[in-house]
Amino acid sequence: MSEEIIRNLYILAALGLATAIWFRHPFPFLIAFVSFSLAIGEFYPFSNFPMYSDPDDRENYFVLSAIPDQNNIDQLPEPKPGSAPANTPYYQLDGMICRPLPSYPFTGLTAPTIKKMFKSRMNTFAKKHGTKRKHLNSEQRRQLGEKFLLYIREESQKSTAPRRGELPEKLALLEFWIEPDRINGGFIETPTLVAHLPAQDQN
Amino acid sequence: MNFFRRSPYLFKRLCDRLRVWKFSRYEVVFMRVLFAFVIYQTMPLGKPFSTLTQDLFPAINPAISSKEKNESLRPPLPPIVELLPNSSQRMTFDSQPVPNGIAHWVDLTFFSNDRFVALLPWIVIPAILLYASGIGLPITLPLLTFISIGSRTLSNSQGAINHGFQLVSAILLVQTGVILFGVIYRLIKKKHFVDSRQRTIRDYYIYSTILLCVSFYMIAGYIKLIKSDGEWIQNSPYIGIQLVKTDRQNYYTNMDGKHFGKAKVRWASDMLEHPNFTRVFMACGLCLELFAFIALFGRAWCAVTGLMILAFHQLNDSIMGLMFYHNEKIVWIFLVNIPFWIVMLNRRIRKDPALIPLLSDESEDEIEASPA
Repeated sequence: MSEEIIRNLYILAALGLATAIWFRHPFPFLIAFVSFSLAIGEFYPFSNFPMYSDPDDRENYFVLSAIPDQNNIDQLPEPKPGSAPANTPYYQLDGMICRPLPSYPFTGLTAPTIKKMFKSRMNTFAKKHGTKRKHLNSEQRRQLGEKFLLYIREESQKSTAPRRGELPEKLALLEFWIEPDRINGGFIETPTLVAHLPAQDQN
Repeated sequence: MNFFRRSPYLFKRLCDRLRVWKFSRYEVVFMRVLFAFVIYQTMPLGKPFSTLTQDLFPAINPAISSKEKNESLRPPLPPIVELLPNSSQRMTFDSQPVPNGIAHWVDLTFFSNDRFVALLPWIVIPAILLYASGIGLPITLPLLTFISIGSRTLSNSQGAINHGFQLVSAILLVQTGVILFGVIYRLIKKKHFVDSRQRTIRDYYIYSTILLCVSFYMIAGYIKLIKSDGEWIQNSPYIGIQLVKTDRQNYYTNMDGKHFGKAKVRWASDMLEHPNFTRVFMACGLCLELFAFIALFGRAWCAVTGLMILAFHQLNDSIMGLMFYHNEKIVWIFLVNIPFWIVMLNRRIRKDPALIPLLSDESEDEIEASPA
């Protein structure tokens, strides 16, 4: 939202509040509260509820993966036909086998939470460097991703959710982009490797 | 011309209709007890309170063992597990990496401290019991508000904003504001607050809760117009891509291949293949959010809007996997308000002379005044 819209919303909120007090009527208070919440954004318990507010033709999600030992690849189940996640037990990215993990039983975090957490870290980093999240390069994303995987490992130790096991030593963070397949219909999902542990310089 | 001549009169009538309603004592008691139950469910008490029902009554486990069984009352009610008297999980965060709200100024990590977590039930449970019985609200409400806002702010300061508890905390905040206003008024004026239409603080604090519920849906509607530069309905078929994302995220949360993660995601391709149908469908939901204030026109409008919001939530849940169960419960309690309609129906059956047109603002006063 532009600065001008935010300023106008604050003015509207102030006018609504003044009108509510002056006329002793509750309805202008509703206008004041709606304008104030839209202007202030995410400030618990206030929010402007930005989810699904600007639909785009591209969307992404993040997946936590294990990196199995290269010698044990034969033990992994064969991918079934079709590109659906349920049919794809592993992905081969940048010469590495990445086997997706169910995030909740391993970390106590749901997949949407993992996305929101990583996105907010990218936003903070981008703001600090005077740029935008979508303009971060792969090296910056890798560094952020490695720190984030360490944070997740630490948080998973404290999780009170029912556990399936400890997070494996070798971890990876994958990003999937979804776009409509304008030729064949349906959707295309493209995975990329964001970061992995042990970190690149520790290998 | 007639309209313009009559407009000051119509405007006055509209303003009168949008004023604070009168609530009967039984309604306020029902609302307070049920909302106290929702507050308890959102409190981060951890074990044994978070699994209390299953531990005390293991016989309940088969009823919630699968998604189908758990959702056997849905629609219209939330899943069974959401109706059980279990609190939320305890806080486990010892840092605030991405501060939100008051976490910018206050270190809230003490909510994860083992000693504080052990102490929390001793503060929360008596406070909730006092709130439900309406005793000591000027003390219990600020206490519950602080715990609700503080703990959820800490959770939201981990970088992932969760909107599932926002309405509960905001209602507590508004109710605290109204109750404290009443206390200050009484201290200054040496009498209880009663407005020119005989509405008391009790009416104001329930009405302000309804107003807040309505405002939350309006905010979600107006932000869509602002952020999309007014093109939300035009771009709404792209929600299909969001559906695929939601399905994949649900799959990777538990790797539940039975319900998620399949090649075809229900509704997703249809939305892009039938864009105009999608636009009409989505526009209905958007209009409901934008015009949610019609709930304030009267009791019947409020109940009908509440039911439409519940239908909207259940469609969002089944199509997009978006679950706002606490919001649904609050809509049932404050907007649909079943006890009021049961009493109203009972009086109609008994041909009570107090019965007057449902939409009349004066109806509630007379019902309250009439003998039970």
